[in-house]
Amino acid sequence: MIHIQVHLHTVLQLQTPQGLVSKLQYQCQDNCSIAQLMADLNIVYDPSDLLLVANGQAITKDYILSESDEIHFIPAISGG
Amino acid sequence: MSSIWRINVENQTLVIEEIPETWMHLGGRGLLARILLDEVLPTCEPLGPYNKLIFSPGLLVGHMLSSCDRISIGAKSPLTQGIKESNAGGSTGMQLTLLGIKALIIEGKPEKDGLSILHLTKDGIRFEPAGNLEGTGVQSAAELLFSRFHQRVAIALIGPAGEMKLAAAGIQNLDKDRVPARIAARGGLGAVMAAKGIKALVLDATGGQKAPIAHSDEFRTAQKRFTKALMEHPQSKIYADYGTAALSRISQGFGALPTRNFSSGQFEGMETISGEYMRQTILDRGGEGETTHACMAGCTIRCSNRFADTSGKTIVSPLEYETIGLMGSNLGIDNLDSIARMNHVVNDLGLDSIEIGAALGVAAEAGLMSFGDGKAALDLLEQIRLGTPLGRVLGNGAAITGRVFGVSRVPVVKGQAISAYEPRAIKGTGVTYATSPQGADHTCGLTIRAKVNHLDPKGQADLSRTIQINNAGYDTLGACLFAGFGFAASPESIRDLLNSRYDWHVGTDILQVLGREALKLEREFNSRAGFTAADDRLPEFMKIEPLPPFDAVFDVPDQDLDNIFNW
Repeated sequence: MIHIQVHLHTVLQLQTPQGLVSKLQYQCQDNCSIAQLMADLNIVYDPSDLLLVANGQAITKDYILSESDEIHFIPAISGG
Repeated sequence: MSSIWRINVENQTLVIEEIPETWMHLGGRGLLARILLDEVLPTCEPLGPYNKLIFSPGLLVGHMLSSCDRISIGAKSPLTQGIKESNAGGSTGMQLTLLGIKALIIEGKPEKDGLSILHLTKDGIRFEPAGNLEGTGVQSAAELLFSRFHQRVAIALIGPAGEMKLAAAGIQNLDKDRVPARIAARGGLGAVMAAKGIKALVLDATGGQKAPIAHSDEFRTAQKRFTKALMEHPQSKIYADYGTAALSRISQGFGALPTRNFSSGQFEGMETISGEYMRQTILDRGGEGETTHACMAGCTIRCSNRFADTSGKTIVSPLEYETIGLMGSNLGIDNLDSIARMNHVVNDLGLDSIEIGAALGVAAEAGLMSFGDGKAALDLLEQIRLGTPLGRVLGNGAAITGRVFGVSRVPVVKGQAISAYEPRAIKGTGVTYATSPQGADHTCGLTIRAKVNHLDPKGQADLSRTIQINNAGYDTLGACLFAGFGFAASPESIRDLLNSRYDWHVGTDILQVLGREALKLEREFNSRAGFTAADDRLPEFMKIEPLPPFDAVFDVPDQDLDNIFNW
């Protein structure tokens, strides 16, 4: 098992009784991909509609997670 | 049929001219560049008699096409000493088009001291003394103008900062709700307007007409297709709900959120200045707060907002990412109320919040305030309002502030402050900052959305070039950059809208054709003004000082920067 941090942006943030959750400490299987993580977290977006970021760098859905990775799931936004 | 209105402020005359052939196919930023190159000596003194202040609506302005009613304002910049185009939403563009004005050229230098109100109607112009508007903040000045004229006018005006001819002064325009908060901020155009002796342009299009459309049915068809593409695009909903403030968390994720005078790319207080937190705060407080708001009539994106205090009373509208970055994380401030209050002050003074935020960051580095001290930041803004020597230093921007106080970490290019995307972490945007003829301007070519490794120097120049060309095209059309995702989803729309409006026969590459022309003209102006490749560089500290958390430096080769406009 590996331990990662997941950041959820805007509409992906989880609504809980305690309020919106923007950050999760998460545990997943070894060799887990971003696509699998999205499925586990029930993020029902086409990966191509998201900016996927790991440790400050853009990645694809096939990226394999490593221990202590910091992952961002960012729905479409171009700037401001 | 539209025309060129040429106003001489020395003898207070108006000449209405036919549009020269070489100007006909241009609008907005492209037309400004053409006129400035044709008519303004690039080595002139920006506040002197030979500079010209030009207002030009974009090519698509005037028919409430969603998000396409922007006004471009331009001159030689007192901040960068180069060509400057600064655009804004709001109602100025539409009113100029209703008056049949393709470009408003203000030239000369007034004979006497004192400021005037320049009133434009379909019948001509009138100069009136500004009287009790002199020295008045933008909000109060607008109210006085409404009572002097009427509520339906459009107004472009300067605040006390412009009157002091500070190089960070912009020109405020009314939004569709008549709030003077849509600022053509960058580059000190407010100072140029004051040098022309004008406190406010009052545009009264009563009796004016919408610009003619050559082929109405085709235009409406193209308009519907574009609007549908824009409304259906997922970005539109994100912008409507969260505004540009959603960028706080995104920039943080890339290590690109300017923090404590660009000394780090992540801010420990980001959560409470995020778009999500802002949205929830607005909803919780209710009252006058609005999470979504349109600055231009007919805009379907509605990315703007109204931020209220705990009693529900408006502090500022809008509160945008750039201000949150430069006056928030860049100053170590994690409180939206503090940032909103600073934003309100700079709006009322008529100042560029990016430039002033950067100047305050440099001031903090110099020890004039502590990072994180919102009250101290407000106190420094008060110095600007009072016009004290310190205030005048700050009001002239980050470069001057750094020079006066001996600070070397000064985030500027061509004298203009870098905006809220750390170029060491988003290197393509760093290329834009370095090479854009406008100086450090993210709206000229922001690359954060591209699915590339932003930390890898390879390919960043190509990416920046593509986006700079497109964005110069959008600025020539009068399109908000966010309309770009609607146009991207409906790529034939620009061609069809222009061809049906003007009876042209342009192709689907017209956006790039216009963009390349604008950039070429701008570069020529700057070259004649004395700019060289040495000016197309980021500040030295960004090449040698690693930026936490990813220890990035700006290492895009100089050769890539020098070849970016070789297409």
